[in-house]
Amino acid sequence: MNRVDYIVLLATIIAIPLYGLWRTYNHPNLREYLKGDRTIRWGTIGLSVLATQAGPITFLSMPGQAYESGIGFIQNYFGQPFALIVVCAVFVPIYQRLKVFTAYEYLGQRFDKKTRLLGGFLFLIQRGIAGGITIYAPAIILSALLGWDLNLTIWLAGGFIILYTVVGGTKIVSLTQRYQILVIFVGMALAFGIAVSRLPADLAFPDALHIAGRMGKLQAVDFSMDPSKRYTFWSGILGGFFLSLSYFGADQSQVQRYLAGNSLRASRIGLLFNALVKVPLQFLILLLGAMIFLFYQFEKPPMFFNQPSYERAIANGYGPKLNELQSQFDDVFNRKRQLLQTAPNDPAVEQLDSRARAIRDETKKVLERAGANPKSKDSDYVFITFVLQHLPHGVVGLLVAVIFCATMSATSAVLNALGSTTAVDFYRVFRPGASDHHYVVATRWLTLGWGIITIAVASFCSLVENLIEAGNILASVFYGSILGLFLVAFFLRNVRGSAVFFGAVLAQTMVLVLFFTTNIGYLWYNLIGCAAVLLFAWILQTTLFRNDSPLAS
Amino acid sequence: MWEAPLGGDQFGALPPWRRPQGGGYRSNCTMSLHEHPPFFSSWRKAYVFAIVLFAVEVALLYAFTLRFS
Repeated sequence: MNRVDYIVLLATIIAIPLYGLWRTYNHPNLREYLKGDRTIRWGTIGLSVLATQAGPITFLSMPGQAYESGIGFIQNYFGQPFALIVVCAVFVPIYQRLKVFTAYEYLGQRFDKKTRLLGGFLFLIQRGIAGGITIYAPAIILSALLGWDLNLTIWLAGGFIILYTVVGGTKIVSLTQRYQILVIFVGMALAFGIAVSRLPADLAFPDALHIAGRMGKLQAVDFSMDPSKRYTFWSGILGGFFLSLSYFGADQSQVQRYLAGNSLRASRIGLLFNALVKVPLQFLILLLGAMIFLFYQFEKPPMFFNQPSYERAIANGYGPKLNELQSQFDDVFNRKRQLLQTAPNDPAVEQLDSRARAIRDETKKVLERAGANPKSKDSDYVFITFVLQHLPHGVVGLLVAVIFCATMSATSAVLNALGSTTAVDFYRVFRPGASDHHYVVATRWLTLGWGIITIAVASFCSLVENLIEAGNILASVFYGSILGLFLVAFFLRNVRGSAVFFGAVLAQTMVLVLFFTTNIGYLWYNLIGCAAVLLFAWILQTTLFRNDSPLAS
Repeated sequence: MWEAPLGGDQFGALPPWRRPQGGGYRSNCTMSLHEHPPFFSSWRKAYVFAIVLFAVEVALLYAFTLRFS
């Protein structure tokens, strides 16, 4: 990165929050601080919901995912449109009618205090950790590749986000997200255009797609019923439906976005907008990864994208072994490139590609033996390496700004939700009757506290798998039980507080045991946790708690 | 029409006639779906439209898969 890049980067990431602070600086009451001032329209809600979901991991990790395994990951989003329709039809009207600040406040009204606290507690645990991953993920990659200090990157990015979220509350989060997502759109479109333009001049775009397809990168839809396959149409529809239903219906970071709407209609249109744009948007991001894969068929890629880790291994005395692998890799690459230029349909191309992948796997093992500690999957470094090495100056700054914008938009929404939930569902419950101003101040302090906790988590977390999956796995382990609480509330009218509370505790315990002892695909935990809450709550209500007091209404 | 107080209280914005008696939390299943069936609303056409568009998206993706894989 040169001076132009840093100017573009700083101007982009500072200007948007400053504009937000200028637009929202006032002395709000609690409703304005938590739900905005009722001027937020469907377009802002739609973009805000989109931006909350599209964290930095999406843009760093997803092109790498396509580079490595193809675009089949798109199927994970197939359940989302159905989930959003259910949220529009069921969740939003009830939240809007009851004028709740948080989703868990509804649980308190429908059941009792302990169920409300349980819902809020599960959310706080899950989101507190996930927020840390959201900050850590881009920081570890950017600091490694740009030579920035990791902790300084985490604290600077996190501190800036905390500052404007604490000051502006929900309105500034929604307002800044609108512009941050626009920066993201522009940046990703530029990256896509440049990746395509850098393909060989004599290779037509459809021919390039055929090459990527033959190498297994373009299978978007797979109707296979094989349960061992991680991404299929069926797992996407079913698992994705429950994951999305939990996320959009019961995760306060999303609920707060659409409750900020100036009407029920605005909230619904904002959500339906997401139902329609999410799949095409993710497809384009994954296709960008496939384009980068094609680009690296003609331009020699690094044998291992996480170069700092690679260099640490050389420094630790593994240079000769890595040089030997590098020369094998170069030989395979040159033969493959030659074949692609002369006989792209030759089956030997696929064999050479498999061989190149095997060499990369062997390299990773050498790095692990060398103690080079490659903390995240190498594919997470693919996109940012392409950006830093092959895009023109200015655009590089913009693309790094995209990563920061995504971090800021996702993290600010999470902090806003964590602070709100702690204030409304815990603090206000145990300290009722204070003035409105008191609760606004308390919410600000709690948001600040969660910001510090999130940064602390980011400072200490070390990822075990692909960044995007780490977030989804964590969410899937908790979301099923949270969603179960809400589905019991909506659909099982005779189930009351104690039954659903202990049902949810049992279900969450069961999911945690399954998670630590079995190898079930993570998306299924959403379904298992949710179904278990429904079942346990119903059984407990008809057995142990059948003599519970009748309904209050 | 009853309006919730801005700040709310421990029962949030619950209208007075639905507030639990005795100051504690008690079950209130009138907030379940049975009193407001969701799918019989004027939004049904919008939901159907969204599902049809999503089906078109999946069909296009499948056509893309068949064409290039």
